[in-house]
Amino acid sequence: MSRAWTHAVPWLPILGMQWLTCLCMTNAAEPQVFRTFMPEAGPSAFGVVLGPDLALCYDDLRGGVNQVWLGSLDLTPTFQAKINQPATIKGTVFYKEGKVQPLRVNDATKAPERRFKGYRYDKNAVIFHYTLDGVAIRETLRASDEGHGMMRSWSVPEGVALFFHAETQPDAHVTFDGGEEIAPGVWRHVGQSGKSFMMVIKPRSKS
Amino acid sequence: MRKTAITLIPLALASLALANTYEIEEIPLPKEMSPELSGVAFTPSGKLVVVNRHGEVWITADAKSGPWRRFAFGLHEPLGVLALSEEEILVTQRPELTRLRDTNGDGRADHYETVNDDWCVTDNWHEFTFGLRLDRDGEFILSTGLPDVAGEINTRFPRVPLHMEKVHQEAKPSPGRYEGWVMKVSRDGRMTPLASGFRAAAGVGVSPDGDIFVTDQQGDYIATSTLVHVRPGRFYGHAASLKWRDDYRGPVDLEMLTQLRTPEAVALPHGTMGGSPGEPVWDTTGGKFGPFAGQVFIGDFTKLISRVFLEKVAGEYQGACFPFIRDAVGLAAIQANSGADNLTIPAGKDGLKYFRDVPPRTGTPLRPGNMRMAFAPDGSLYVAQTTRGWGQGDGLQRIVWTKKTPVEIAKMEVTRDGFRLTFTTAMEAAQLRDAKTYRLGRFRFLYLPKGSPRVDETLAEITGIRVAADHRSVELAVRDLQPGHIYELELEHLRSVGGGLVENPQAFYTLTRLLDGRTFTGPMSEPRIIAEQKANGVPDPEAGRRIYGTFCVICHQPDGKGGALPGTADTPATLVAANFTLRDAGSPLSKPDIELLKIITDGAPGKPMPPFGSVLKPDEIRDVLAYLRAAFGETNHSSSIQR
Repeated sequence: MSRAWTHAVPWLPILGMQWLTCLCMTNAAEPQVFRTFMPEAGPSAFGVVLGPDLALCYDDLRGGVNQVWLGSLDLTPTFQAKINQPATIKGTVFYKEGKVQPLRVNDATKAPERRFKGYRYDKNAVIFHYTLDGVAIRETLRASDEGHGMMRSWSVPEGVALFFHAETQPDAHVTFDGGEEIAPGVWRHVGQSGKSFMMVIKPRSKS
Repeated sequence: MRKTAITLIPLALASLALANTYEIEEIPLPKEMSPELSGVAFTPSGKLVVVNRHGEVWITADAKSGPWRRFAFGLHEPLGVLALSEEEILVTQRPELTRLRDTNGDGRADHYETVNDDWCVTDNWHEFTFGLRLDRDGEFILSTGLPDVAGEINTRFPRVPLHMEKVHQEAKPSPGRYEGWVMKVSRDGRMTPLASGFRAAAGVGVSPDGDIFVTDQQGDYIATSTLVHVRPGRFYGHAASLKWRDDYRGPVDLEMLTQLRTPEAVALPHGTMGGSPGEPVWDTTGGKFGPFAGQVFIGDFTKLISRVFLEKVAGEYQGACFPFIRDAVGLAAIQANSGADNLTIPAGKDGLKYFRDVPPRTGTPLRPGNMRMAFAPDGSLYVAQTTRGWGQGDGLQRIVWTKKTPVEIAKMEVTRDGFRLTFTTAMEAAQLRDAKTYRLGRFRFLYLPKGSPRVDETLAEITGIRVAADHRSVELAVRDLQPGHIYELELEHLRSVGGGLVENPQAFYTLTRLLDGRTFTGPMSEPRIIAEQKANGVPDPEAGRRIYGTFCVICHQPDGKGGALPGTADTPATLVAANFTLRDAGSPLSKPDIELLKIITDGAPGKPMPPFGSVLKPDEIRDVLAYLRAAFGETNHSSSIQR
């Protein structure tokens, strides 16, 4: 991403839209993660701003990226309310997931026990850490180069088979790399040193 | 990455004197920081760390002039912070205990590690997670609040199995495990549930001896806030969380709950001693904060910081609480209010009618919302304030002792036959010997699922006065000293040898145990003294004012304006509590008495207003309405309230 942008200050919390120059500048192309009340998500999900016009809801309890949209994330309702109000999605949603625990380890048919372990920022990306049936998984989210799509990649221990149940996306163009489709919509990746399983999500209108 | 650094324009600190013994200073915050501060701590090297409800962590080496650096952001309403170092800070956010680490040395956290999240979350607004302190073993202590049925409970993709079947039978349910508990978490992330029975244990503290305490907030079951000594395995009164005990075989009735319940160490009588207490902090300054070393200071949501003296009696903690800083109205107002409350209740359109001859208070510069506090290395007390939806006032203040000795009751201890008062300085001997100096009464709170009125109020007769030779302490012998009661003491114009009046002439001793270990054996859920019927059938607005100060003021506010948070283009305003001062058609007080009496009795469906029919008697509800009409209603309104 070539465009430099600053983070939105918290009292103007329409994130991804109001790119204000303020004293607390951050580096360019840096994602921002906000744990909050998100619509259509489990408790304490994440609003993730990946770029000036790209945001998503990450719901660890359901099992991953719930929605991706072109636009911004408005935290104003949450920050003002005494009785909780979810954040607002401002923009056009082009990707949605609804399947509970679409990621599986070693058995494509068994929903795993998922435990959240945290996240970290790294080189214009945010990396979520969790375990599936005790197997440590790292999932990296970053904006695609042109800023209108996103890349999602998983790292799993060597020899562990990771399965992903993809859903039909009428408004998104979705491609996979590093895995094989073993059944319609079911992808498999086996952990191997230096290799990861990648998913690229772009809005159809802009792909 | 560049560091997030904010340089403050140097500001002259507003230094506001309080009786010349303590000063309250305003700490300027950078305009980039949301002032809804919900945690304050110091690093081992003395740097100040604050968190706010927007989810940020900020650090500065110099609170007076900055610069401040934003260390972390995006946390879900953190309400506690512990700074192990400048590079490693722990926070309690709603869903988890989180370790924030700066691993690349740029001054900003880049690693947000989940230390533990082994409890239920449902996104309910009242489901706060509180903390954070280290116990004597170096493990983290935190607590969880119960949800509130006035808000939504998010049942999508629950983290732990939900038990929704009882949710709407309780105002504050515990739909998932360990909601309403105090827990500890080891450094490597293993959680151990410690104790149950809490409604909203908003303040977590650990004494210098390593004992764990929490403040729990008033409401159903126990109608006053409390300071509780937390012992593993015990149950402290709010029934909803009991079902998550391993030995639970429920359901349990009130009798069994009563047997299981461990009482609080110190009650903080609702109204007089605040509404919703925050974090208890121990004065470990070694005298830098004045003559109260070893005592506990507790901020409150109201404009109050209280002070607690603890002693062990028959192996358990109990003790006394005192106002430390609060809206100053003095003894006359306390007396005018019949000792029942000291909140800023408005006089209404009839001027000072409800304060009788009490002059308007000048107030204290202390803001409300004093939920988090920490002692600085220099011995001053930092107070982090947040009030969202319950009033106005956010920010950071600091309280500094001026080195002048305050004239105060330093301690109130139980003796074989009464109480011993120890003062911070020598007092006027003749006054100490005069029985008219002391007004002592007692009362207790019932233990009931839906509110627990204050009952069995009587005066306590002082039968003997023994003054110490140094005139710094006095022993009061009391007739029929009764365990299980709260003893309320007021001092009448008592002065020190130097002529100074006692600044806070009021104390409440929670006498759970006598020195010989005897405890209350009577019914915990029934009064012993049956209140006399009022002689006439006319509602009493003065009685209603006191009830308003106890039960209503926290939501409806002293000025009766209630609260509603502004909406946006996409979200409606959030009603918090009705505004009694509105005058348009459909406004609260435009409704007929019969409708208002029903709302107070049964609650307002779909709104946060809870039912008070099981808490207040019909006469008392009429008294409250009489007060509302008198204080906030139209001048020409003619009420038809009748007994």
